[in-house]
Amino acid sequence: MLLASLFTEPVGVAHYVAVGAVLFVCGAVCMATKRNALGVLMGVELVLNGANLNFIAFSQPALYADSAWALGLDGQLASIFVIVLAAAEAAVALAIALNFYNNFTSIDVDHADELKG
Amino acid sequence: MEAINWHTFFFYLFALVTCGFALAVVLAQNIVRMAFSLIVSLGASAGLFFLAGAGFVGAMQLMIYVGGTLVLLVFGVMLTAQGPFVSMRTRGGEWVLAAVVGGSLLAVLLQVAFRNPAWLPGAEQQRPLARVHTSRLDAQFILEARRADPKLLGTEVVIQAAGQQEAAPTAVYDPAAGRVVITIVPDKTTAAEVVQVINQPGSPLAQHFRARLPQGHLGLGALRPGDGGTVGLEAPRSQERPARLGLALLGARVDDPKRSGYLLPFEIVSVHLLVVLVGAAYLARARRRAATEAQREQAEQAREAEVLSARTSR
Amino acid sequence: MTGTALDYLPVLLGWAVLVPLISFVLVVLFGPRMGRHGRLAGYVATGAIMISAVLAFVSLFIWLAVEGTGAELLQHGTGHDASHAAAAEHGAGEGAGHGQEHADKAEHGQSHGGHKPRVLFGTWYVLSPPGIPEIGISYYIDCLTVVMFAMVTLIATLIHIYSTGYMAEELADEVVDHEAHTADGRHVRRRGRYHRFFQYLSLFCFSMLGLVLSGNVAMTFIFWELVGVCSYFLIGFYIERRSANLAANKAFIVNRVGDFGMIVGLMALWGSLGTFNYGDTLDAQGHVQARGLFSLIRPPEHGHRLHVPDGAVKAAAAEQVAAVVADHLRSEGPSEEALANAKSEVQSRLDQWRQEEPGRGAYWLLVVAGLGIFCGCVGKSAQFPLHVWLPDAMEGPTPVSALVHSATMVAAGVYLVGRFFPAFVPEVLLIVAIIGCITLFMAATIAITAVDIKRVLAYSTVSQLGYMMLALGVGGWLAGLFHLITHAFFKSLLFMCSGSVIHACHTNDMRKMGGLLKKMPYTGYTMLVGCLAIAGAPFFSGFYSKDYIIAQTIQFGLDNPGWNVFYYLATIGASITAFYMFRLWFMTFWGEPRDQHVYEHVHESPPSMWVPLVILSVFAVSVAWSVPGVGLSIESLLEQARPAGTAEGVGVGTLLADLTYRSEHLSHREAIHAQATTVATLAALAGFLLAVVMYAKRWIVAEEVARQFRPLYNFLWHKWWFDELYQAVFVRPVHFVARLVAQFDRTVIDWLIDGSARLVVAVSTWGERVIDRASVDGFFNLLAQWVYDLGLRLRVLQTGRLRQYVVFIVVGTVALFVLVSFWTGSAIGGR
Repeated sequence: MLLASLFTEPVGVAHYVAVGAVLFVCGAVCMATKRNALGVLMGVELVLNGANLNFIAFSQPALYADSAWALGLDGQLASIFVIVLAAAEAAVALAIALNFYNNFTSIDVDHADELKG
Repeated sequence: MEAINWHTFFFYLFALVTCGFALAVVLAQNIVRMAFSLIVSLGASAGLFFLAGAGFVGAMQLMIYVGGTLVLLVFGVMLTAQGPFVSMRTRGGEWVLAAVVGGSLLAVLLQVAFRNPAWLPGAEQQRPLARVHTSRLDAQFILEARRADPKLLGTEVVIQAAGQQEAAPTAVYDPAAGRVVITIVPDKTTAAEVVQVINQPGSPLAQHFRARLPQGHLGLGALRPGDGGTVGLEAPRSQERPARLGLALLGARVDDPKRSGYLLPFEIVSVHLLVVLVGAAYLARARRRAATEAQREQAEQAREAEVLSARTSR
Repeated sequence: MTGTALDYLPVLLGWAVLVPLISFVLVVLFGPRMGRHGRLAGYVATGAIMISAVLAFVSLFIWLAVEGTGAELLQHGTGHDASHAAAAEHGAGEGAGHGQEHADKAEHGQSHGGHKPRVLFGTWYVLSPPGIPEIGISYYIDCLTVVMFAMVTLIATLIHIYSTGYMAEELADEVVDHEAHTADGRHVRRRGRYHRFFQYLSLFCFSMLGLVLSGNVAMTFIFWELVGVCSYFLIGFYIERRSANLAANKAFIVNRVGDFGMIVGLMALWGSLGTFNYGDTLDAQGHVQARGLFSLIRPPEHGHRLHVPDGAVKAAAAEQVAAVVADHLRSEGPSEEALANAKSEVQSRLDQWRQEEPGRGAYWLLVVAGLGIFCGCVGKSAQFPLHVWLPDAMEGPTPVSALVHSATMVAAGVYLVGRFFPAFVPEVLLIVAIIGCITLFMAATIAITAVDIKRVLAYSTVSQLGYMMLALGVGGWLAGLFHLITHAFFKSLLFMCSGSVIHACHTNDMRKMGGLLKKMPYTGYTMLVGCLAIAGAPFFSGFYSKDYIIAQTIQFGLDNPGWNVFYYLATIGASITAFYMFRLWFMTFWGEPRDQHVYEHVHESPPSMWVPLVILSVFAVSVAWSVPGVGLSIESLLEQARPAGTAEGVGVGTLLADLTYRSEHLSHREAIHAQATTVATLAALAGFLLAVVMYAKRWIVAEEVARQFRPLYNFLWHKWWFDELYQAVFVRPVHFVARLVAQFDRTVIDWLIDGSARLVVAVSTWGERVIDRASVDGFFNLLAQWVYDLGLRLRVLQTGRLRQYVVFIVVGTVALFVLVSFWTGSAIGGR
């Protein structure tokens, strides 16, 4: 019954937002637990993607009970910018990681504590 | 049994893949596996984008993210993938802490997501066809279509006021001007009444609109009084058309011509991206050879010393 | 006025003025970098003045080509003196007729006495806003201007060339000044200042030429002061020498005294005439638009005779004017018409007032104006009360003495008197003559005892300037300016010769010289030429000009019985001049060397120094000659520029009724001329013979004479006690008052200020201890300590671990959500 109604009922913004939340939390936990700098970077990507999913969901009027709330194209555009930003961020972060690796012959972010108070 | 809502079905499918592989990214210890899981997770989220009607964004997600960013990441993995770094263990305490904190955040976020009634899907029949944005109505409305749709505009629309025959608003199609003119009796008909008429389930007008509004015609037509008040008409839910965003990026908004397109932000972002990439290339350039030589020598000496000490201890 | 070649003169002469200025700017900016030690600066300055000289001579030739030599004017004057005198007496009757001729003012010399000099007057740039009388950058060019330009640029060029040799010792990284000492008694060592010397020379040339060219009194005054400043710089060129500093200050301050009088004169002029322009402003058709001050004082409709101007009468009759205006306003009510009527009535009554008491006041205004301007000339030309600066100015380098203090700047005073000659009333001219006469006699006597070679020349300069003033004062316009030109040549020659001697001997003291003729032939013989010229030996230039002067004094004595004193003193002065000049020459070049040490080091100067001497000596001989055949001479040129209305005499005195100035041409009569020539030549011969007897042949020993006339000798030796007198009368009292005031300053004012300062210090010390240290500092230190402690505690949070920070962020986010839900009851508001 539950399963049946699961597929017959329409999904709304909330469902997408829930998926986005899962992605976000996965990314955050990834950042918090991975010692590898690239792992941290992947966590960041997950977080950004979760945010993206939210933007997409908010942009679609059809997902709302009341479509006046929808962001419309602005939401999609924001997500495009986020994607572009993420790409740039990945490039820079990778460059930083490589520099870090070159200087410390390590990729462990725990070693990067020079700014410790 | 009701028919399977395919949108819902695919949503759950993609959501499952996305979340599952995201979890895999978190749980995997090997950096290469993590990268693979990330690719799958992001690809599946691109499917979700398509599903939400943002086809253009989904395509970009695939191209830039999965195709570009992750390849970059994989390169990074390869460049730094030396024995000890492929899988670095994290201490158990940290795992527990992260799980607790992350779990609480997830709980909060999910609660937020489902607590907001506006974000929940409504039943299709209950969703209003027209909404009023103004309470003032003039003698004439003009029903205008953004995109001239012969199916909509080729018909004569009749609006009946509930119970008030003499004050019934009328709608007449004007082929020369390409518009539908809705006439009401001033001071006797309120906007709410018009909307009520349109929205009344089973009313001929509503059926007329529902039948004739093209698929994906969200908010396309609008009842527009002279002073700019708007009565919006909505078609049944359907898929978005991706081309609209492409046009918007070129500066033309087909969904709302009064608003500007995204050409300038798009260009700014492009330039920004270019600058960042140049900066990244500069950052990642090869270090001075002398320094690396010295480091290598140092490392070799350290290794020799290690070997020596190992021998002596033995 | 149709276009003639004369139209080029303003441009040519304007550039002749500007080129030295350009050179000055260049040398100021780049002087030290111009070649080694700035050697090129000398060439730049010399080249600039050469260009000016070329332009000036081109202008002179253009003038000659267009206007002719003016010889016929001179012939006219000398040949028909009797008829001329008659014409002068008739001048009054013809006055009205000349008024019409004024319109075509360009034409000259149509009638007796009505000769009007050709004048180019114009304005390049107007400074004053429209509506008020015009002051601008204007030019006033007549033959006098052109001749002055030629003279100044020629002498300046020669002196520039001479200076390149004379100042050559400045071309070194280190120059030892033997006459300046440091505190520990050693000679001053300094960098060479070659370029600076030429920079000042260029500025001086610019100023002098600008002074000659300037077309209004304001501009004249500006260049006048510029010339004074240059003189100050050049006298103080050896700034390390205390004597040079004092001399420069003295020159400047004494000139200030004169310039004060000049400013008073300018105010009187402005107040009575309302214009500063020399010439008439013409409109496009050649009609007079606004009159210049000369034609205001000598209006053409009055036959260019002295006429008290309307403005002066109005200024003097201020009460009557006010009464007329008040009458009209009372009877007609306050209106524009009433004012206009009052104006016309004032205009109609001007002539009446001119005859009455206000006319006398107006005349006094003219006297004040003339005396004021003459006062400036007294300062600049070192005349009797203010002559003390010029001998001291010999502290400057000798080329400066030659250029500035003999040939040009000091002549500027005479030039200005000549320029203002038509504006001077007879009473003023009489004072000019008296001052000039006193000066010429006094300076000549002082020169007798002076032993410094340059001082002798300096006093001779003062004396000769006195001659010029005397000449102008007795109505000899031509005589004074003629002597100005000839004197410029032979005096610069003499100074340059003395410079050559000093350059060779390294001393100014004639008592250490003697017998130098063998070692310095060029210098010796050229100096002899100079001495002959100044003494008035026949056929030398000084002979002619001095003749004119003495003839004029004779004529003045004839016209004004009782004023023969000018004639006598001028003659005695001529005799004394010959005496001290040959005394100088014999002491320097004749006889046996008195100081063997000096004599051994003497050598002839380099060609850059003696070539100009030779050139100048040629001029010193011949400048007064007239070119045979065409009759061109300096006199004829100057005669062309004779101010309108002065040919028939300046006029008759008003305050001194029997003071009469008749035509200068009267003094050119054969009888007077012969008398003057004879007397002057004999006087000069007497002086020469006395010098021969005393210094060449030593039949009379000079020292014995000095001993015999000890009081007189002392009187002359101390320069008539002038410096001592001024010291006692002016300097001491000023110092005394200054010391008194300084004492007051030190005791009372300083005490007050010190006391208040101490009070402030005490208050602030207390305030600092109590308020600043305890309260303010304490509070801020406490605050800083808090912040510091907080930071110490918070630094623990900065673990430097990236992953921990992520956890912090997430915890923070969750906390935020929780907090918001406390507030709103649900995590995100909802509806």
